[in-house]
Amino acid sequence: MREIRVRHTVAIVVALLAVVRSSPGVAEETGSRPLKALSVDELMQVEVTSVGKKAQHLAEAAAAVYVITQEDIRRSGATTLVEALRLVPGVHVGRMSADDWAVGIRGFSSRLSRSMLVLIDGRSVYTPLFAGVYWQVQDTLLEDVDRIEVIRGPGGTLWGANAVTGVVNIITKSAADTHGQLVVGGGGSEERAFGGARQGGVVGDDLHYRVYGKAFDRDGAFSRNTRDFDGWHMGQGGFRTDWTPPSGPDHVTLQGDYYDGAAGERAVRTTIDPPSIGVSIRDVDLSGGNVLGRWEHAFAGGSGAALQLYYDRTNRRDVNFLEDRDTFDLDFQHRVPLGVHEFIWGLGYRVSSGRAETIPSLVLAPSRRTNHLVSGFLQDEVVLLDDRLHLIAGSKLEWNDYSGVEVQPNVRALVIPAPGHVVWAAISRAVRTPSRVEQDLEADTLTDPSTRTFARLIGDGRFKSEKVLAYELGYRVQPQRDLSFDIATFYNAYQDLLSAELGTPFAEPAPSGTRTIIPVTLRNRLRGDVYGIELAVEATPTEWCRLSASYAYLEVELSPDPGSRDVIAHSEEGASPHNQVVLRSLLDLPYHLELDTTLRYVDNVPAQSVGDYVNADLRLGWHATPNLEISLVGQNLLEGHHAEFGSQGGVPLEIQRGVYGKAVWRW
Amino acid sequence: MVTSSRRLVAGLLAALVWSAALRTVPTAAGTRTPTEYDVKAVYLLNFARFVEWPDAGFATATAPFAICVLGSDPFGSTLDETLAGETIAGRNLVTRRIAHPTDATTCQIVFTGASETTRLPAIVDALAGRPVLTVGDETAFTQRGGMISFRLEQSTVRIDVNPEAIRRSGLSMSSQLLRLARIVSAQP
Repeated sequence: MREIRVRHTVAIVVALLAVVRSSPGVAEETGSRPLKALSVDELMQVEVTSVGKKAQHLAEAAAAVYVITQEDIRRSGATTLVEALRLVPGVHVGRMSADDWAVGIRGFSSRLSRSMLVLIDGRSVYTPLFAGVYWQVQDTLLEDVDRIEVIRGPGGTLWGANAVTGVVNIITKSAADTHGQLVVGGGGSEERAFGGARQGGVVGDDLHYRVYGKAFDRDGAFSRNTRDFDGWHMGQGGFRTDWTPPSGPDHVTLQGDYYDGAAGERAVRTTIDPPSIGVSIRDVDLSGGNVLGRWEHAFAGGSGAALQLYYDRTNRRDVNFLEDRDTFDLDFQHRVPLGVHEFIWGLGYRVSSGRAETIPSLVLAPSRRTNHLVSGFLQDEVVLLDDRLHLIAGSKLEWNDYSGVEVQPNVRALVIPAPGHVVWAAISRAVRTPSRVEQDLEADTLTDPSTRTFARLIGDGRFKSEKVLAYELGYRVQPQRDLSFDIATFYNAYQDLLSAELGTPFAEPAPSGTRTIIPVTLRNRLRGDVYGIELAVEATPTEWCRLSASYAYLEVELSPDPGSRDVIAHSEEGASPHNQVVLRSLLDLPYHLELDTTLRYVDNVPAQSVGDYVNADLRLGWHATPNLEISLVGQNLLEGHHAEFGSQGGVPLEIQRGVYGKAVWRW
Repeated sequence: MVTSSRRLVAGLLAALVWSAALRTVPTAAGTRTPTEYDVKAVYLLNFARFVEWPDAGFATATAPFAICVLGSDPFGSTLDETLAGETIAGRNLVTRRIAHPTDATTCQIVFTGASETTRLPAIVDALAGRPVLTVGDETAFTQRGGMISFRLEQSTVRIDVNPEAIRRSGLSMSSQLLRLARIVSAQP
């Protein structure tokens, strides 16, 4: 088995070398004349890379920020937003099935990633039901994504609660940048069929718009002991308009999406009466929509303000429960430069109301709950010593109806000791606030049929917020124009982490006879020390070749408080890999070809009994004409199937090798 | 465990061999693919060539022609390299980095990066009626009173021009350049 894998790797490398060596004339298209000698209309035809812009954005942040650009997404062959996160150093993405992913930043990988905040164009997609993000319904036309900014480390001061381990900001392009028509389509072994279309343009001179639609059908993952059940299909449509009145310093954005689809899930279903346990496999219906408006205004004197309002609806018909949720969110931000200071302050209000229905062994009471969130923040950035020292201090103050007032301050410093060198440090506090699960849940699971013993998971509302105090230190250096290094280290001290406390068993009468219940209560009786280092290198050794490598090391140590009878520390500790390596190469070849390779190593995930693995993705792209791009993508090429994370309803699933072809036509 | 570490070593080894091999491929001199900012730097040089400044726009008869970058500088060394040794109507071309819009009054061309988006009105206000060509990195720049903005189309760099804003500042742009630009509506 191993031999085969190694042989595969070698074959790919050899193939790569063969192609690379035969390409001396790659850049000759731009001609041998210097750019300066070109006429303006020749200049307009020159194809460029935008590496410089990205490096610039990164250099200025006093945080561990990584930006996935549109180019990165396109050349990675990723077909979902969450798969693109695999490119980020120190982010763990474990695919659990065709439609479920566990994501972790700096530890605590889980299906819903409870400590990580995800926003799409400023709209939070973190669900207050189970705390976390349902990745399967977070989608858009990937060609319209401008970039994904991933911040490792707390972001509570600016983004609020639940930005504990990190923040993922998915940002789509302005409608002013998506004029014209685009049609994309393709299919393959795992990505069975997908297609999408977009129409963009401008009405009058300043009202830019686009409308899009997309749909896909994905094959299920591999299972050793059951037929696959996790096939997945979805359709989505949406629009965006951007309006900039010619005279004014205003920018108005209005956008919305609607999606509908179904994903196969398998879940254990417990019943109170014998046989007490069964398995349900069915298609979970998923639908939802949102509409968002944002008004940005720039005042004379250099200050700027933004007002944003959105409505979001999600409907989920899961195996053991269903939930319909409505969320309204109002957000205001104001940026005021004042001498060497730049103040940003903001206010926010969110109301989210969910109605749940469940099977009898799973109780969410009351069935409807409405939550309110009120927040405000102030942050000051001082730029001193000729732009070489930035000091940032600020705090969020937030009130929610589960845990009351939460304070999330941070202090950051950024020093530029010499051009091309950036050192930054930060101390920040962030919280993960309670969700409905910790407040309203009672869920029974059969543990011993012979004695009719059930474990009962209880969220009784006494759960408080989880807190982290994070210490970070980073260094970025660009010794030469085509080479950059990024190093980030962190130590996160957690308090009041979620624990599941084993209680004293008791007898409970039921119509079919007395049952024994072992209560397991959700509390905050774990402490944690989490530390690690993330290294990333990007190089452009020749101009038609981009190479990058990253390595991340992580250590999670949890300890129960005295007197705790916690049962989950062990599985939380081992939820993320200790070591991860990602190697990438993007090559521009002659004849308008592109060859892109990603090789990754992910250490074992002990809590999920998942072994370590090495795997590779390969993409061959061809710009057949300036309007038509054709590509062939192989994913997880080194193994027929491999496990990445956990199981569904007790059945471990493995992710299969996949190959697909794709065409993108723009005009 | 042994198998897994062997797997890791095999993978890493393969990757190392491969990246080392790439580095040995010789680069043909002068044929590298330019970056976005290499091209934008040449555009700035062309703006200096294809726009006419009144003499009143310069402090003295021998004052240099200044291209200024306001706020964060996305060019690195490429702007200086592009402009080195160039002259415009007998004046030396120089680059300057400035932090505040008010410093821009002694420049002939001011480039503002994406980081300055919210300061646009301040920039436009500070330069109102002065013969300073304002160039922005964001598409919206011309719609907000700026004179020229860059726009990426596929992977080429194009320009939008607001002729009305240029005219009001007392500058005039050659029709050669105007012809190639997308014209953005003049203000009322």
